Amino acid sequence: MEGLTALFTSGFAVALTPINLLWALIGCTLGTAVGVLPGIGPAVTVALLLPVAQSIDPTSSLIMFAGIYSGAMFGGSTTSILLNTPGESGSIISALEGNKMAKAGRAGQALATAAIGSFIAGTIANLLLTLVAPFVADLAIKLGPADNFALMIFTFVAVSAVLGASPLRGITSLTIGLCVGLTGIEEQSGQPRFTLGLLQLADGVDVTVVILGLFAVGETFYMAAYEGGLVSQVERLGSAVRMTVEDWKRSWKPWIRGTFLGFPLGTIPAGGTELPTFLSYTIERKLTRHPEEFGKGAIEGVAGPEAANNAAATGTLVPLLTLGLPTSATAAIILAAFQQYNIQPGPLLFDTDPALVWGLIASLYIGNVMLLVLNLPMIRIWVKMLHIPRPYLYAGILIFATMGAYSIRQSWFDLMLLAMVGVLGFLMRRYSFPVVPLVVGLIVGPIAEKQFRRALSISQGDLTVFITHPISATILAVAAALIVLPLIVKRLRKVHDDNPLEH
Amino acid sequence: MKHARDWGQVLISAGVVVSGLIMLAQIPLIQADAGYAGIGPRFFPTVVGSGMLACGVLLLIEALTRGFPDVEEGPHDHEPFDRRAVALVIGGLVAHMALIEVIGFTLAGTLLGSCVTLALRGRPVIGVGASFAVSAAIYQAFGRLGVTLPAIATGWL
Repeated sequence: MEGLTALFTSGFAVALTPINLLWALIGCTLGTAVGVLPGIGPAVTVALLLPVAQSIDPTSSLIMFAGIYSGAMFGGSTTSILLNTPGESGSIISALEGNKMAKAGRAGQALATAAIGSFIAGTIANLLLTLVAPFVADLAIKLGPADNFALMIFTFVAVSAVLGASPLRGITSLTIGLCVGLTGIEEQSGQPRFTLGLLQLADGVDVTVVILGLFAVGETFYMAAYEGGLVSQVERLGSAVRMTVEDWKRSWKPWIRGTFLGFPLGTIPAGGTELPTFLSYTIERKLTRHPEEFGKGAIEGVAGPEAANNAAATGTLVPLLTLGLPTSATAAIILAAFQQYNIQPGPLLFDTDPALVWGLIASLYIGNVMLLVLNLPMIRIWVKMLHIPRPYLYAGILIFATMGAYSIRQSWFDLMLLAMVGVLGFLMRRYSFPVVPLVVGLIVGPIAEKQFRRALSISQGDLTVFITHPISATILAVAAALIVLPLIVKRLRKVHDDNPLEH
Repeated sequence: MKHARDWGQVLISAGVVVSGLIMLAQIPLIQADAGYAGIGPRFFPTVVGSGMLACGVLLLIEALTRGFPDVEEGPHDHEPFDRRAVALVIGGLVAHMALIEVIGFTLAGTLLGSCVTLALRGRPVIGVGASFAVSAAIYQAFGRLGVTLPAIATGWL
């Protein structure tokens, strides 16, 4: 309830000023656009806008970034329904049913259930965020450096080892990110680390370069290498974007289930929106009264995952705002945006700058309404963007990426780093290394080192502090279980599968 | 076919091993007057470097035995690697970084965009035109927003 009071007393007062409404609208529009366009996503967009954002008031620019984040979730569903290749990783699942529906001439219904479902899920998830965030912040404020360090270790484990096909490749990606994060002059001792003697590396590698390189340049390399001749098929929108009574009846339960699945999974640092969307799809396929339609274009298979995906995106804001822990690439770059203004997200922020926190949360409610309008009555504008041929689209993306990298400090050196990270991004994509652990390691790594040192200076160098403090010990134990349990389950399943008598 | 060795996997694993070794080799260069409480600036680099080396070795074992497990399927499974296209993109990026301070952001961007268009088999004329339009628009718009970009004719190109 504390949250609702703060939302209405300070939040909406900030978010409803004309200038902040304008920034929210810009963010939502840009977000929808980059969500629709393949090859560019919310993380890249926020990274590109970081240099511009320096001249804007922090609250306004964070409101814009939040708009980009949620807008991309809405826009991504348009692409996954109308195009055979998904725009955002969170929409891969809805592409299964959504694209089939579009092929059967039901694109309008699929887009409507995705947009309305995203709106409902987003609104409920915002309400949950409003209620949960102050509560979590109150708990988090009691955490000491040792506990915070343990939480970061837990985040590292969760994003790298739990998700994705191979924990080993996830952890490799994490160590690369941590290594890049360590590069540069170390704050406390003033010592240069991993700079290879290069002066240009003394300030470290800018987060913007890494994000743009991994996503924009890496993706362009991949397109050039394997998909040069690819012409994607855009399905026709056909009739109006609306749903029949029958569609509503079949959609509302998946929306609600998707929301309550997505939000909690978004809040735990098991990161990203893939897991909740996948689970929602599985559940809807089990519960449906029309199992014969699944795989051929079932509306439940779009409604549930789209709701889950949006609720999870809002859920990731809980650890970001209350603990300062990002669990997705976009959340990580938004954390970098906070740091650019010397604001450290975390429990203290709720006390030191309530106008910013609650203004940001209030803007999410408003942004959701804007997005519903942008994505239902105005859908045809976005569909046109899908017809931009890939060669020119990627040419534009790369020009934008070089602008972003060069503008950090007007140096060709950053352009070289951009190209090198691009090659890394290509290789990671080609050999299925997840990139989120790299981004999270890069941004959280330096914070974790600070917390680690702080914890040790309090304990006077006693390393056991992490296991004698009950909270940090518990968190580390859960993190260890996250690594060990899947291995055991895998081993057991293998034994089970190898035993032919059981089949 | 399932167990055919993928040399790409072997190379990338070896790359991780080498990166880990390079990291560890750099650690003695960090001046460590073991900060307060015995944890100096070397501690984290040592942990991360060792971690990377360990990951690299494990990846190498995977690559040399059964191959990486659960690799995502994609166009790379059936399409040949298009060397010409990748060379064009790399060429565009290198030319861009070499020339940006000489011919300005707009023209360097046009050159880069044109290379990408050619790599992805778009129409050259549209590619050059679209790249010029995007570069010029970025120069004008972001210039006004306080981003400094080099120009051959300040304020115009």
